Amino acid sequence: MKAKKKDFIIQNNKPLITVDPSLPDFEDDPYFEKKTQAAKKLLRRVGLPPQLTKKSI
Amino acid sequence: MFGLDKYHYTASKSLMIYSFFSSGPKGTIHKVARFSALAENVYNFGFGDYEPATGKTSDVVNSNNGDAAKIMGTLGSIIYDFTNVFSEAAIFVHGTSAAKTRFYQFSINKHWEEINPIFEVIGLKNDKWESFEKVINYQAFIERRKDDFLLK
Repeated sequence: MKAKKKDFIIQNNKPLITVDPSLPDFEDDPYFEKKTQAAKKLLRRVGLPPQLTKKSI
Repeated sequence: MFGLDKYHYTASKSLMIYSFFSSGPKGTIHKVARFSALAENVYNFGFGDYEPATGKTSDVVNSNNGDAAKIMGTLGSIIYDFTNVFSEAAIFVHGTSAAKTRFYQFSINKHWEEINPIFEVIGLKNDKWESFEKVINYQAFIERRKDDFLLK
């Protein structure tokens, strides 16, 4: 988790996001997985907002 | 974003993970936020304390580091930056407790005049989605950028 060389992201004129290549993606982190599964469970029950269907889904 | 006080943060190469350090009376606490895909263009946004000793993340302990507003400013900026890159993304925010969800709502309320022109915010109440209103307490939120305020 130590900070190493940092790169920068820029897309057109969008702001910079500093990228730390050493930062892991926490793919198997139980805490984040638990939160993700809880969110999926809630959305399965209530569905997505109908407003999103116009643009995102 | 919005001129809020915030911490400097870095992102993983995928831009799904963001890392910053809270600084206060209890010392330096490593915070990590993650966007996780829930559906096409819908992401859960979670964050917690990274514990180097275990390599795990949690929010079991309330850090109480005296910088809650600065942390919320940082999280808002992360969502803003993320949606600059993933402009179609809808961000799902749901506290791990009712108290945390209320705190998210408090933060949205506090900065609503700045948030409202940029983000469409939808709240979940009694398991029904509705346009966000400041006076209503919600179970969860989904927010996404309004087209007019996407950076070109």
